[in-house]
Amino acid sequence: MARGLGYYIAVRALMIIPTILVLYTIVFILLRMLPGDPILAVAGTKNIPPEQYEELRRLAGLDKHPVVQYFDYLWGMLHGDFGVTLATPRGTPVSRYIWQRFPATLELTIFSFAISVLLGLATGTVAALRRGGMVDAGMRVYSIVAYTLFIPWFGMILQYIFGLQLAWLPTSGRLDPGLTVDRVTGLYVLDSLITRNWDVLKSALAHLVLPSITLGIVLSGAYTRLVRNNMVDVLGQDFIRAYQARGVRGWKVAWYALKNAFIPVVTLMGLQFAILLGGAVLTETTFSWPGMGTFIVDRIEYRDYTSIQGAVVFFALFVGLISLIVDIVYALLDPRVKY
Amino acid sequence: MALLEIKELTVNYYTLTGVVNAVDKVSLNVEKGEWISVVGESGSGKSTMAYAIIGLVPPPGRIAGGQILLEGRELTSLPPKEMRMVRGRDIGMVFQDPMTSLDPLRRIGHQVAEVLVEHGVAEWDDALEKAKEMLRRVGIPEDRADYYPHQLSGGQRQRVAIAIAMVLRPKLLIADEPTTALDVIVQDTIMDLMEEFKKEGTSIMLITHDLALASERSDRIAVMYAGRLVELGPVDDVVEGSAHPYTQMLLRSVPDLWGPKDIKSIPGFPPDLRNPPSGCRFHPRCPYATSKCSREDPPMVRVGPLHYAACHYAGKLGEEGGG
Amino acid sequence: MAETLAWRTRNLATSLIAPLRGRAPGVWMLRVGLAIVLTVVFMAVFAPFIAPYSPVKRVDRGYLPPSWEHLMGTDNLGRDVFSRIVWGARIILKVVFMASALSMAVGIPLGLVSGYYGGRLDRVLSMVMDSMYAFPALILAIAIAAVLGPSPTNTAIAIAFVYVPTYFRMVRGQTLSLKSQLFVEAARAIGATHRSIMFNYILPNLGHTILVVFSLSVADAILTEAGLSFLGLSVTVPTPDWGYDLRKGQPFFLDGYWWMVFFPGMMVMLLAMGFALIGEALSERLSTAQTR
Repeated sequence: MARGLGYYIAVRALMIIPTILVLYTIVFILLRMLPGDPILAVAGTKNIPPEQYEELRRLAGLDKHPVVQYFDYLWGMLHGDFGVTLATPRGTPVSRYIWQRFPATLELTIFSFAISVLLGLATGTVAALRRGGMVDAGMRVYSIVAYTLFIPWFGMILQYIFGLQLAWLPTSGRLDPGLTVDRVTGLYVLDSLITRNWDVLKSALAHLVLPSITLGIVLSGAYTRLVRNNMVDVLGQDFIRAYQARGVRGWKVAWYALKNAFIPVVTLMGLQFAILLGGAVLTETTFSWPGMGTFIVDRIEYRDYTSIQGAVVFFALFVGLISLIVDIVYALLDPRVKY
Repeated sequence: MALLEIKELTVNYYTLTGVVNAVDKVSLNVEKGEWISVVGESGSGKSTMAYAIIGLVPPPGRIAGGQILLEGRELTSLPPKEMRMVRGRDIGMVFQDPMTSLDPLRRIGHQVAEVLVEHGVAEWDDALEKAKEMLRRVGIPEDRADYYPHQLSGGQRQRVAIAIAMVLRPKLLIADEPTTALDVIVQDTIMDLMEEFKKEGTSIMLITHDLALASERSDRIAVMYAGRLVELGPVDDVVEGSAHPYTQMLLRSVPDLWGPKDIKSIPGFPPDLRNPPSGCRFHPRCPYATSKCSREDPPMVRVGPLHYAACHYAGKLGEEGGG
Repeated sequence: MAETLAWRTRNLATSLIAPLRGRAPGVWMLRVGLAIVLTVVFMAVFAPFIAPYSPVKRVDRGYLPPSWEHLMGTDNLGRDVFSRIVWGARIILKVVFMASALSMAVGIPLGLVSGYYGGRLDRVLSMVMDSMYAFPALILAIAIAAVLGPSPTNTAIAIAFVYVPTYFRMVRGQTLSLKSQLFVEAARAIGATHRSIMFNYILPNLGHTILVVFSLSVADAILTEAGLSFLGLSVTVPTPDWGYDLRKGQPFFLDGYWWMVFFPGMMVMLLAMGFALIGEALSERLSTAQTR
């Protein structure tokens, strides 16, 4: 039964592989099944010289048999090769863009994720403690409204209020112009801490506020609901009354209740993170955030088939990794999970 | 002086559809070192009374009147902080379902030790040692202190719950249906365990719907019906010479292996306590009811040296009368 | 058969109308939700009569703030924002309903077959659907729409892909629990074919659940559609479309011309909220009905 956490993680990691493979396969097949010639699309004209057409096909890896393509790409992916761009600048490895852009997206999503979880826990707990009353009803409205907020719209309203009218916060980019930071991780907040560059830290945090609040609030609605329902459930259980009956202090009881209500929330986190990544594309576009989302959108304008394919496949890998992390966190939190 | 004196206790639930009078002017004493069992159907107010004693009537319930004195100290008007210290230290409580009364996310040793820490009796290191001792005392090997509740059987979990309730050696242990969720053989060992603590001087209040279980080990039995105390007395008096028709019918509804008695369930249903019957609350189901019963509340009358019943005709109704 | 069908229809109809009456806690949600959705549908259907101006022509000076003449102002090209909103309702509803119909047409039968027969087919399908479900919907839709090229139909196809797993998972789960129930056993005993059991016995019992999933996924699909057109993946100029108009208004927004952005975005949110409220109310009703 108990073979230890290392064994558990290894098994879970192995179980993620099929998920990633399936996702890769779906993306691979979809992109090839769909009508339209990507080569003509990226060239922007039907009248391109045949040799240039062939050159583009070779660059895109489309000249080989689909089965060969499938395994070639998979093999490359394992080595961090996601193909090369077809549009200008032609022939650049997509992985170079991912290397540049992904940390920005990661930084944004980590902050948004933290905001959404904290907001969800707070609102859900308050609703559960005041269940049946006006506060509960209010939190319910909050969760629905938050969930249906249209990210670009909400983001622009925040830009208008806090960036334009109050002029408290910057509305676009990751850093004030002129500032640079040595890359260690690519996450500016982390890098500026490591290099003790306080100006950059301040600027990076200020730039993060609006986009991560936008995305965080939108994502918090789902947690509000879940935390509230779990909390109501947990508060009705005997062990809460039993804690009180032994004279345990109120705030400690509330903490234990929250811990128990949090367990099912963890299972939602993987899915929420996926939604977060989708929302990040819109958030990045709204706030000119130089991440993966804006990269995809830029490349769509060029109809750069290979870049889009590379970015999407990379996201598939990342989603797999996230679900592995969620599994591990869950196992660490809940003693009932056997490993 | 009695350990616990309950005087005219009234508890209401203020629900949206009306006020539910769950406990109505119940007076009851618990003596030092005695085992008293409170018997009644679900909805009779027995559990509500237990929660009232430890000051944890769930909302929308509230104590609407009466007093609860623990060694002369009034509990109902105690500030929350002091009441918290009473819980666990002076009064311990064990709940019905050991599956749900322990926190699934914490090691049992910690849950026992926490009581000591929260009451300022010991620091964590020391408390954990004492917790192990206590677990051994209730029959859980001390190397299991690191176990989580899900790794134990139902009976073992109830032992842990008792260990938690008893670790500060409270004067009173309230056990709310502690064995209902367990199978019969395990039931007995849990009762044995409680009896051991009784021998060490703890008073026990067993809340149960099971008159047979109550009659096995109790010193006294209190019978509740529809929020009121209907009969109170030494176990033999109540079982052999019950003075209230409800108790009599309750006794006949208990299957008896050795008796030729035919089992009879009590006809009718317990009343809706938003709108309880006038006079004696049992009169709509009572075979002996007269017009007086629906008019006047029956007082608690003495039918034996320590035996009381709330019936206008207490002691005047023959056991065979119901036949 | 015809009788039972009539009974079922009436049953579904009353259970839809019944929650509108009474004082159940979710009633207000259903009322507000229906009011919003019906208003937008009305706008879309009668757009030519409601919109005071042409949605695509210059009708006045540009950058005019909201006034009685132009309820929501005019955009940078002098077009009436309100008229564009009214006509824009058509696009978004058309795309979203087309997408939902497609997802249902694929997801529901697959879910039925997968849940009913089980076995290897079920394992493979579930694996594929679960993986798709775990992937960021918007990114998948972006990839598909990007390859297909911008057009409302292509957007609908892209969105449809994304919601197939939602219907599949729900129908499969319900089928699994229904197929062991007594009435299905009875049908099998009287010799009903598999196809008949699936479509005549199990499917009609999924009506309510499908309705709930439909309203909730439509709410989501509205946001996805608006997101895709915000990214320029749905319509092309000069078609009026809420998401696209939001994008086109963005450069002027921070100069103070808030109305070009505020109203289209508000409509996206209102419409999504309308469907979400309906879905919430219905799912609450469904869960209380089941626990009873």
